[in-house]
Amino acid sequence: MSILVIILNRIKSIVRTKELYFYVIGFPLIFMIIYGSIAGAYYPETTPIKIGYVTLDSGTIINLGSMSQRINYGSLFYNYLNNVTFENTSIKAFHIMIISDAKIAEKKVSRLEISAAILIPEGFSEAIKRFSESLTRSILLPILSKKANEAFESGNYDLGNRYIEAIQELENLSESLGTIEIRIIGDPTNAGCMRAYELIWRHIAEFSFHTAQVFMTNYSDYLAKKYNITVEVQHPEEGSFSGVFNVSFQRIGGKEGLKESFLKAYYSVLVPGQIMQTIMLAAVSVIKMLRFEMERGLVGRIKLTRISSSEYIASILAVWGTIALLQGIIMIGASLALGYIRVLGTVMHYLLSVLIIVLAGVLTAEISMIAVSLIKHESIEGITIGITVSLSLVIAGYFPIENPVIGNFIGYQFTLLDIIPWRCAIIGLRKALMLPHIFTPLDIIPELILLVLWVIIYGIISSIVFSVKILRARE
Amino acid sequence: MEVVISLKNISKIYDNKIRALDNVSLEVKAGETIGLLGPNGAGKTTLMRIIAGQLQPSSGEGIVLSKNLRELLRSEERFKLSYVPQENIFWPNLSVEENLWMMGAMYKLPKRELRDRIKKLLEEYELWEVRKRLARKLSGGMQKRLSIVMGLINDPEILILDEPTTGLDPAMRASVIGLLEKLNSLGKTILISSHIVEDIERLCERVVIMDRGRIIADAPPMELKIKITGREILEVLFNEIDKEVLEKLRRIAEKRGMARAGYKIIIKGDDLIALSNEIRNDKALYENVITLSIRKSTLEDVFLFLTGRLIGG
Repeated sequence: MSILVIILNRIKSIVRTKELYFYVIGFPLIFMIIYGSIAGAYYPETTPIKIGYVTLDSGTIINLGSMSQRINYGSLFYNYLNNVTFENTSIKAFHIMIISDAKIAEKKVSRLEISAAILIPEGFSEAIKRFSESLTRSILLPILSKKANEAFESGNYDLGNRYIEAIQELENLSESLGTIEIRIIGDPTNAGCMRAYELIWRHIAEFSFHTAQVFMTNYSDYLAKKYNITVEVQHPEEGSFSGVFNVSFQRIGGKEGLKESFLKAYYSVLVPGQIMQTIMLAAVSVIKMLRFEMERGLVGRIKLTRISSSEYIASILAVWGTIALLQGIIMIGASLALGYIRVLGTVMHYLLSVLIIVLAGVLTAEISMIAVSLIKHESIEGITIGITVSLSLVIAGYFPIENPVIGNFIGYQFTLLDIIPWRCAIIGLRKALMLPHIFTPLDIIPELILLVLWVIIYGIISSIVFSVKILRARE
Repeated sequence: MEVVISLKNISKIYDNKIRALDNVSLEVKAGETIGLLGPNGAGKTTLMRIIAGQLQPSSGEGIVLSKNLRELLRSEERFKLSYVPQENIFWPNLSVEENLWMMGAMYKLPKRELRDRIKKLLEEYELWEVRKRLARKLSGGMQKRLSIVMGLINDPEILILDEPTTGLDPAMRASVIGLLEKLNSLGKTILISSHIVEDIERLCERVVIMDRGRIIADAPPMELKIKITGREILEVLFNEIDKEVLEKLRRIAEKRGMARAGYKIIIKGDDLIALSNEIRNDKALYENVITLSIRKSTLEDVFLFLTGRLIGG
């Protein structure tokens, strides 16, 4: 009963402290709205995306009459992508690394050395050639037929026959458009991967049309010269052939055939990051509360009561777990209201999200207790704001920071940034809240286990440090 | 009567250089109300915090409620002790009643017992009307009252109150004094520190005068006054005091004993009326006198005779 009274009164005391609302809810909410508005309006594409390029393409031979030329469209597509820039900027969209083998590319993706890898299949050049020929044939055939008819109707049989010969040669070109296939290897939970996927989808179409148009122009010139005729080319619309392209997605470690919109991928970074920032910023409030109790003599007074160190610590952790739950509900509600997330997951997904948020709140309180035990100076509150905001942005993936994998932990790829204990909570939230159609609740277990471990580790450390330095200390 | 606090040669040195307590020995019997009197920096708070187990002495031994000072915070005896520091201690965003529930819960009192005790304390110490009000919205006096009443939730055998009336206006001070007088009648052992002489004289049956980390006097107030200053003293307030005036006064006072604080001179001893007449008859001396009176001596006079300074500086 006693511990419940203490927890309840502590919660009342915190909820009635209006100035803490800014740190606990206001600041992250403002941040989320600003970031969300920017993302909704436009995306500042300024950082090249690191991708791998694996080409198995052996090239093809292009014949124009007696002239023949060997062309490797896989290499040309590489050159093309290498020169792609973000719209209205001179900044390259990709930083491309040539990789010899798909397996190596998969490893690099899984280690986050690259955001995604493009796999160009063996028959890529043949497919581009077929598409170019088919497009040229389908465009030129009606033009030449019309010209031949006009020549015959005007009595110019010689010209008409030359058009007929040109049509006969044109009919040697492939009739079927076929399919141009490439494969993207990546992790859909990685925003860089999804940005690459969006851009590559668009540019494979552009490249193919551009190549086909060049082929069509060259072929028209060739026919015009050879048969001494006039060929006026009308280039087709790009969108009318969208069915030709197939950019398949190979998801590392799991399901295939996923295509996420960029904005969704962006929000998958924004929303979990903001929720976790809210939880992390509560450290300021925890520190304020503890410092108040220490400096105003309440801790000294409490030392004379029956409450043990472990009960005192447990009451603080329980309170901040509850506060984190309230924060999480508000932030998820705001994200839903602002359209940053859609209700997609099962009840279990949402229960897991709540559990992650509560555990992250407990973790925050534990780390705050360690900080307040070791740093007695009043500047600790300002320092905490700076550190939590910076760390939350870094681990949420707002900045392109190298984050190599340093180990595998029960199916969870432990990266350098995972040393910051809240990161697994962000990844867990991303899976549970943003990508529940890809990840089952079972897929979230590794993050949950790692988070529980962090809570236990920091719980032990904070209990020892806070007891020794504060609760049992005598000056 | 049983000795509940026994300190022997306690010293406390902060940062290896500031000697806050110097060889202090003190015995307190159950049921005594003791006033620690002394100027700021005399070591009163340090002494109280050591008794309450909040501070570790640099040297010396002490027993509180039959437990060694070092063991106090780990023993059950600590529940029989309440320490109310000079700053108000409560949770400002909890109501008066909630604060008492919070502190009671920390003593793990059964719910029914705690409810009854809270009701009794609220009624007895005139907090019933404001029980729903947030602590931070109470007046200064009420806040101090709440702070003290929170120290009573465990029904302590020893109550340690550090400067309970400091910083309060006269009305609020009177209200807190009223509360302390009520506590006096309960037969608890109470230690009150203050630099306000009247409060100590009014509340305490024994006074311990401290100065610069040492106990310089320890006796019931009346006994101290009789011993150090006598029942009455002659107080003369001058416009200015030069060497000549001082020399003249010393000669007039002779072996009676004289102490000076700024322009105030106090003289103890027999036949103070004759002495006052002598001053009146000395025209040169009397010219500089603003007031001249024979009055009952106070603990402030005792302190002045003992240290040559006033408690308030």
